[in-house]
Amino acid sequence: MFFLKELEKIIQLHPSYFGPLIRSHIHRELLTKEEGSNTGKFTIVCILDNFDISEGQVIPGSGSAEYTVHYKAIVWRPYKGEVVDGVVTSVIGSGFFVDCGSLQAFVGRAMIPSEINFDSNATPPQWTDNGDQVIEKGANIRIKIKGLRTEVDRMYAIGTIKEDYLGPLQS
Amino acid sequence: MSGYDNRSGSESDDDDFNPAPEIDDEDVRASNAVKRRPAVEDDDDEGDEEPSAPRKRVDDDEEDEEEDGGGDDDEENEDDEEEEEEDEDEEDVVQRPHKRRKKARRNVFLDVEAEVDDEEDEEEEGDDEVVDEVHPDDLLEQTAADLDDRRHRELDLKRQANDQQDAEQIAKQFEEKFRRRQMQAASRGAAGAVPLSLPTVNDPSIWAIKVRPGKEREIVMALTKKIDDYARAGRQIGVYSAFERGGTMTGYMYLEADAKQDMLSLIDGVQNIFMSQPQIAIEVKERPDLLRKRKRTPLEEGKFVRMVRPPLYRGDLAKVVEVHSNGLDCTVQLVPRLDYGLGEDANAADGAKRKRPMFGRTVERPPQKLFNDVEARKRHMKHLSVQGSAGSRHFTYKGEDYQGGFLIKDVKVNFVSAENVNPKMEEMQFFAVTGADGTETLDLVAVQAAQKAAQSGSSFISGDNVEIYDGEQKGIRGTTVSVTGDIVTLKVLEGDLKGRSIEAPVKTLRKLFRDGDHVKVIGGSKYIDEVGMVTKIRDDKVTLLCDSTQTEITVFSKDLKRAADSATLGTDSNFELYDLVQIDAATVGCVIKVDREILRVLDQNANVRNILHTQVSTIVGRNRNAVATDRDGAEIRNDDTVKEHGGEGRQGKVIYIHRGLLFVQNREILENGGLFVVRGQNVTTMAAKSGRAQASGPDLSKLNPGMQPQGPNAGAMPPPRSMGRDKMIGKTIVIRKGPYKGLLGIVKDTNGSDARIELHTKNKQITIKRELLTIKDPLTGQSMDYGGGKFPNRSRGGGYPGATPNHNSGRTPGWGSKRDGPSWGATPSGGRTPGWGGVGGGRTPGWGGGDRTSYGGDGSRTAYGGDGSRTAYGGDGARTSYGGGTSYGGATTSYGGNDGARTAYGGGFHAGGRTPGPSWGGNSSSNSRTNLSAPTPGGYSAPTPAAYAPTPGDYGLTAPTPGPVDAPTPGNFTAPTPGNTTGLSKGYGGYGAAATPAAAPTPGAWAAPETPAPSGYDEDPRYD
Repeated sequence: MFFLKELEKIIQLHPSYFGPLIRSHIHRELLTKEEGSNTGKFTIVCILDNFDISEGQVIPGSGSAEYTVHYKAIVWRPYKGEVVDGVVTSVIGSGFFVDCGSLQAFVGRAMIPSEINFDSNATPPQWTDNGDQVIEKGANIRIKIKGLRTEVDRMYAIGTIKEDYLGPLQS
Repeated sequence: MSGYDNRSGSESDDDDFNPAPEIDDEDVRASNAVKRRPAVEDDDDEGDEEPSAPRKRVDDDEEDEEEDGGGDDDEENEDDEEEEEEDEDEEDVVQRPHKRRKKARRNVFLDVEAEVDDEEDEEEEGDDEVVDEVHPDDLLEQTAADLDDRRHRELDLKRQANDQQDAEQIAKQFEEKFRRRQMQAASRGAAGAVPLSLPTVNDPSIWAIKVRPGKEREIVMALTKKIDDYARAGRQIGVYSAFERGGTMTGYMYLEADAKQDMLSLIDGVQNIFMSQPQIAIEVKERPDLLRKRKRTPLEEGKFVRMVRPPLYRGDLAKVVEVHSNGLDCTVQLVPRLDYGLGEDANAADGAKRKRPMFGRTVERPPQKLFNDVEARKRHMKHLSVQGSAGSRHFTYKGEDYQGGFLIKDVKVNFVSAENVNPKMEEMQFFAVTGADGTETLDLVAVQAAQKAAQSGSSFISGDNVEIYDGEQKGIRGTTVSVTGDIVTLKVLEGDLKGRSIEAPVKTLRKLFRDGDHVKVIGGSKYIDEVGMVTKIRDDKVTLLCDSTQTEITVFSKDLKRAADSATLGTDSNFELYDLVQIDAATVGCVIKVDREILRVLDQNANVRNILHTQVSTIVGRNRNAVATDRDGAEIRNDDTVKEHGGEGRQGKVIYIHRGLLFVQNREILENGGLFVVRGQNVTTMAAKSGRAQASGPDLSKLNPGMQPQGPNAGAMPPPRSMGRDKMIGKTIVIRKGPYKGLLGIVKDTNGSDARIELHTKNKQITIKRELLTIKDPLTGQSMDYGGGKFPNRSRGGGYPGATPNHNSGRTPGWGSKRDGPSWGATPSGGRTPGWGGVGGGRTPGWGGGDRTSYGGDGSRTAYGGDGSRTAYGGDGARTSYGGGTSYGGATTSYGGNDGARTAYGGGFHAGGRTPGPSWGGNSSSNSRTNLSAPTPGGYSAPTPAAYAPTPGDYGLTAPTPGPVDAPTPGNFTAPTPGNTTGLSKGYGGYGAAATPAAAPTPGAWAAPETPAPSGYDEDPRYD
């Protein structure tokens, strides 16, 4: 689910950057470091342009200055039970992996309808019901998140396609 | 039954010893009708094994409320036995006289293992009253001799009695009986518990008697004999039963008697009873516990057990191979402890030792080791025989069977214990099954079975979601609130009891997880410490996807706990997943799995090895600077993404580079933890991390790269190097420092910063640092600037600013005291502005200081007070100075004219050349005139002499004063403007020849002298 979230980041600036371009340095730093990053709970998708840079404060001992930047960003946070679309990245006998943006999800065999079976002889290997549902690498798929695990900078999920309207999308 | 009890008694008693028994009015009522009699019968099973175990009928009308887990089986057994007994009582007495006889041989008074009858079942059989019929007199009269006869008479009596009963009586009896049962049923329904035939205060007391531990059973036997004797003698005994509790309460036996005196008279004189210690009367409510039986864990094939006997194998882990159909024996498989006759005395008579086994001492046991027939053959060939052929040979060694290295042994079931087995991993290793492919796998089912019993409260922590899967409350779900021992308090989450706290034993609980829960394996299997997400739950088996290996594993829910968000495997290990470790001198490998004892490592040859933690010498770690080249010759660094060329076309991120080999990681590959090894030559770079780093902009916490110097030497400009022959060679020098300090010498050679000096004093060449030398004029002994640089003029130009410090340091005070400020002040202030400014700001304060002091002496400061500039001079500045400077009379005049212009000059000259005052005076006027026309250059040149002049003044003390003064002056005169410059700057030039300054008036040289660097350079020697 997408949210508009107010965030704060502290940026340290080496004294050699002190000068008329401080603001642009900070802006660039903010965009390159924060956009696309994952806090473990959500992914920062986009930082809105108007942000607020505090007065710099020189850190005793180092000469660097610290700026607190308040900004708003569009963030994405997956929830248990959320239905998301993704791309299959890897197909194995015990299930398949799906990338949903910044979230990597695994759909295990137990979460796949019984009519969809693993076919290891196909190239590439695929899960298929021998009909129009083919799950192979690169396929677009809709899954429902069953469980989430977060690490410091990543998120992992367990997904299922064993419900109505879930599964490979016809492209 | 009692035999069964004895066996269980040898195990530790984990039942609650003192539960509060439930007493209801039914019991009280029933107990009034208690009729006590010794049981005459015994159950068939125990036959010869337990000859001293008569049983006790506590009560006919009471019911057994044992809640013991084993209750069911035992009750059934009892029931059967009861039935049999009752049948026998009723009609079988005649039909089975043999059996009767056999049983009746036992003493009817004593019961080693008393037991509580199940009243209810008797009632259902409808024949309990028959039991009541036994005449109490029989008990007293019976002897071994008349037992048979007694039985017959008993039967006769019974028949008689039955006959005498009329139909009405019978009806009454039945009515009463069934009424009672209805009541019982009703009360049971209400109370939810089975009424218990509990003893009351009206019953005989039970005493606990302290005895020598281990002799309990003997004492019971002795008492039996004694009672027999008493009975033969026709004495009243007053004792109903004697029993002991097996291994549970060693050192105690129990006696049931009407009065203490009865008890005492019976036990008096019996061996091994500690009469000195008081006999304890057991309280009424504790009595039922004395008879409590413990459940015995049933043995199953394939289960792991611990050996109890024989002592050689006590405590050893064994696997049940077979449980014999008689239920008393089983075959176990265990790891033998054999020494193959190594510790044996060859001369000792065979078996002599066995006669008197060492008592109370534990013999050192040989270690556990699988049977080795080669070892056995060495000494004990005669004891060894072989059956079967190569594949499935089994040996018989000293009468024991060995198969596959294991000892196959038939033991009694009470020689093994199936409780608290808790097999350790090292013990289990022996029992690992080696598969066809050479991999060793443990029989996990057996492990689970063994460990399942070990489940205790500790595997539950508060907050666990649990479900009760057994017992009355089956299906209730809740979260645990607290755990006390094996009792878990849980708060019910759903159903009718929602919100209430209930308690449940651990045994009946299983943990509840949901799909997607993040869990950790906390025990019970080889997957311990794995962390993963639940993908499937079936019964109490949970399938989870491991975080580390991305594989699915199935474990029991009890072995799981909810995991913190991030957890790592093998936290207590020194090694982490994906560490690069040194396996041996030539081999490195990357850790792909960390187990407790074992690391699985992918080595540089792409082989997977299992090594012990201790086999790893070091963690190599990541070399930040490691570089490899791909097949196109492009550079590969750590974290670059590469793709295999050809082969499987795998791609991934380089995590280690080791001698041209790349350890590449790709999470989507499942084997080897997503790691593979390739040669750098076999991959192509997909994306270099360095490229990304540049795109993302500079690191703001480091130095701005834009500020960083370009090129290697882009710092401060180094001092110019002299080319060609070093100017210093051949110069006369004096050494300033060190052991040779003060000695004069000639530089013979130079080398970098060193110089070889030939000393004048002794014929010796020394090497000394250049900077410790001062160049002296060989004739005058004057220190001089040796002008090592290319630009000789420059060094002199440097002399010009260098002169200034001379003023500051030496002169100023001198002037202040001797001289008139005003004239001085004029000098600098007038000429200075343009000229001096160019030379260096640093000097101005020096001058200022000088000025002011002098002014102070004069009292002419008013003029100067405003500013040290010409304005002041225009007015009274000049005049004041004249007033002050008596000696300047000559100058004054000339200045008079100058006033408007540059008073400074006049002053300057005066100041500088006070000795040749007149001559200067003339000069100054001429000078000043020039200055008038072109004040700036004048200003420039003018102070210089002033500055310069004093220098000789300083030296004047020593000697050279005339020299410099003489020499430059002409130069000045001849060509005032340029001559000034050259002449002035050439302070030393003067020594060489007066012509030099005149001849070399390069103004260009003048342009340069401002450069501060040379001046600083020059100053040093000058000061000396």
